[in-house]
Amino acid sequence: MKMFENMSYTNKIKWRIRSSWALLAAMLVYMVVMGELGGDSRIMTDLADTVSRVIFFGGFGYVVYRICHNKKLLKNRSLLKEHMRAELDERNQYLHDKSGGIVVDLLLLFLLFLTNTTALFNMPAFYASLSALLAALLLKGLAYWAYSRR
Amino acid sequence: MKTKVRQLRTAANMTQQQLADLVHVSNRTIISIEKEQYNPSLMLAYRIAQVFQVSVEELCCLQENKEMEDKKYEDV
Repeated sequence: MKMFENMSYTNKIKWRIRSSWALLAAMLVYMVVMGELGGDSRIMTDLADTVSRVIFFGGFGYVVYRICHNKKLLKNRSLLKEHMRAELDERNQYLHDKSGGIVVDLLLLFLLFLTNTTALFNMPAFYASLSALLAALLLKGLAYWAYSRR
Repeated sequence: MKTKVRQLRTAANMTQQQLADLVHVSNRTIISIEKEQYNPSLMLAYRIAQVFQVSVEELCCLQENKEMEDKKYEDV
């Protein structure tokens, strides 16, 4: 973590672009592995089918968008400065921390992965995972809203 | 926490955005400080105090805020 503390914002953005490419590659590997392992589409409900598509392809699109956005930041210095100010703004960091911080962010990512995977294999597990995901999202949203109004 | 940010800003004919730019925060943060919805960090309070050339104690009305807090502990 100390490595990132002393890093310039430009270098942080460059690392984010590299991490995003790695994540895209991992998602493609995941797609191939899931395709090979094969879920049983006969047991998949319509909700599970829709949710898994939204999570996977929506996530894929979002990562591609972040790569393009970060590359755009590197080309435009004033946009980069504006973005840096918004990200490092202490009130935004305070609200992020108060609504669960990095722990809840990682939990949400894990729940997204779990929900998507269970949608292919086991419906009771999928519904449990989806409920946990929605509950976590709701709690984070409510906490963010409550602290922003205080 | 009560502060004199709005008072000093308007006296200096400055907009919230201009103040935000000077102290490297978003104008939403300045709005929240003026509405007493958010307490600035020590560093941010120091930056704002430097803009208006006042002390942090005066900017953040520390004496007044301390008295209000002490009253809370007394009136249990």
